[in-house]
Amino acid sequence: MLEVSNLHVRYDDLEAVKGVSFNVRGGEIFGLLGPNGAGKSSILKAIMGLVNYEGEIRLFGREITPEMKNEIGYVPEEPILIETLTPAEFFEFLASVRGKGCEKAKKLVKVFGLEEFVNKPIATLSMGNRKKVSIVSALMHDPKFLILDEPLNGLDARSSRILKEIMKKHVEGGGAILFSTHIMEIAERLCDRIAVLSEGRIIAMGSLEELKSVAKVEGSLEDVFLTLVGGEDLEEIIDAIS
Amino acid sequence: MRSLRELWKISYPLYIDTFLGEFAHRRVKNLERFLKGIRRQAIINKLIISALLVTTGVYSASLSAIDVSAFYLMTLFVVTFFFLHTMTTFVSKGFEILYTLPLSEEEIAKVRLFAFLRIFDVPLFLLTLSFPIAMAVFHGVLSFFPSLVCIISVETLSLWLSLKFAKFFYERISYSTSSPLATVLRIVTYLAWSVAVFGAYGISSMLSVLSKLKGYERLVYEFSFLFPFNYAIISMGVPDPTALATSVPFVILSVFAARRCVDLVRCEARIRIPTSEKFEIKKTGVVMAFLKKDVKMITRNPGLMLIVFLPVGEGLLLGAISMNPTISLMIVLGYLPIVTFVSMGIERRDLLATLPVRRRDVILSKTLLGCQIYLISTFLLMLKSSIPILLFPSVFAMFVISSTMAESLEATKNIYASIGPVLLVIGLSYLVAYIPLMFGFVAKFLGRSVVLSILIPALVEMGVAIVILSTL
Repeated sequence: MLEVSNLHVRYDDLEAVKGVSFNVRGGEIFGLLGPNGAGKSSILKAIMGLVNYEGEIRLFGREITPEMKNEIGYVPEEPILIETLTPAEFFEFLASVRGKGCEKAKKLVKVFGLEEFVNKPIATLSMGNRKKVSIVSALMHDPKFLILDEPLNGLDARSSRILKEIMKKHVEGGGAILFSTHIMEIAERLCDRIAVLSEGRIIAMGSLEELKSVAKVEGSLEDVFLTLVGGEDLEEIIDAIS
Repeated sequence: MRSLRELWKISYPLYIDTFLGEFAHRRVKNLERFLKGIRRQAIINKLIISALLVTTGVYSASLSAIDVSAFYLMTLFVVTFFFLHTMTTFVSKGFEILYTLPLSEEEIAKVRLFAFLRIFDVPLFLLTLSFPIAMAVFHGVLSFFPSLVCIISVETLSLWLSLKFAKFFYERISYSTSSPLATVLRIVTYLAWSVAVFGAYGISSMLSVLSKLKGYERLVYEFSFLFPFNYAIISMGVPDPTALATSVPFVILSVFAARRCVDLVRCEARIRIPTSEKFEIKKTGVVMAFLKKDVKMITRNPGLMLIVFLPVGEGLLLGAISMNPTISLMIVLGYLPIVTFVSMGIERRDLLATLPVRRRDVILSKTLLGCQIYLISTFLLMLKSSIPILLFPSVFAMFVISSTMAESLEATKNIYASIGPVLLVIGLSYLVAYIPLMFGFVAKFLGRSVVLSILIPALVEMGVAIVILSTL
């Protein structure tokens, strides 16, 4: 569904992504896992056209055009919203621009418990509710491909559970999800394949079993991850703290 | 218990946060530079208003009693309305951060009050100091104390009015329901507000004129704010009992206003916005969606609204007086590029990048918004002359070209940092708008048809604009 080849993202002198290549297949959740500053968000932003990049990004075998954004749902780490509008007005704007999504937005507002806040200005909403508005706006037009950047950050337990269920249903229906997180347990439970990023490069990629064999580690994803990104000194640090 | 000095210091970040709130619609790359600019702008704003109030006050004190009254009235209007958008942000804030600090309820109340006073501190301090001194210099030492009471009364009334208006704006206007009626109400209120601000000067002048008319003198005395008080001081040298007595209600009102003001600011936490659980999500066309969004964003921000309504206020004012309609139209056209900068400036590029939207639709929506502003601005002029109608295609072209250029040159990102592109956009806008008028002037001079001389180049420009739109 999505093919990324030799992707480079630069911010002035800093090269945040250094020649990353991967693909996301239909019916799978592909996780981008890495420490802070590894380049996860930059990859997602490049796919959405939010930052300049070098390399090739193809969705459904074609370069991403503005019209194709109707097939993508994007939840950024920091919600991109219009502060002076209410959620209802914001969803109405999005539905009008995309030409669909009114009914689904109404359903999702109820599912995520946003009814109480739907007529309040977005600027006055809490971080969690802003995140929910961002999630509804990414799902309301039934996109085939979801790009989720730390989507569970700031969500309450109920909403987290709902989103995870939605993600599962989405891939069961043939859709695909590119998912960035730094929470190992979530990646382990949700992702079919994972790319481990460090300093802008993919250092390992595959299913959890494949990663274990690459890292030559038995145990959880956290153990695999720490081995891959160089967390050998962690035990020493923990000892020093205690 | 912390000292008042410490609490005053603590209130500074809250004040800056309030001032910053007015710029919430902007996305900035260099936050540090942006914050520096905001602090500088807060000081400049205060200095401008201080200079206006102090110089007008001292000048009025050197004139007659009626001029001093006119000055009181002007001060009331200026202080009430000049800071209204900052005040609207202030009342919208709960300042919850204060409750996380080791401060008592009483200290929090004081910090809130200080943050409120910081909005007005320099102008009101300078005015309170300079005006009574000027009165003492021009009308004798005896006038110092009464004029001090007068000016403090005016100031407290202004603060109270400003707070009340700000609450009204926030609760009923800025964030009222999203129905078309609410939007119309917002626009009408802002228009009334603009008229009130501009009208302050008109009323001041009218007061002087009315006082000179036979039969109206008494009326002016009775209804002009604090007039009896200062009339007595200036005209008779010593305050006479009748004049003092008629001033007492004003002073009582200002004491009440001061107490209400302090209570409101100290005790009131975040103002609740009325909400309803019912909501509708209705689809419209893409262009209409952008247009509706822009109107909501602009009408909910008093600062942006005032800028966008500059051509409207100017156009209606010029249309109401008997000035040459073509000259009036040229003045209105001079303001129109502002609309482009505001409408393009509020667009979030990061949001646009995630949507299946074509540039053409965005530019067309900005053009239609600009055309609407033009039609409202020139409504009265159209009743006097056909030229504003003939020029409409040219105005359409001007908005298409200026919006396209502003977007391509990123002229709205940071107006101060990209002065070159800004001037280029303004220059080209003027060129497009004024060319048909120039043809009209030449035709009039040569005795040819003015209508065709304006309409033909305007239509050609519109044709070019449509071609540009179709290529986007």
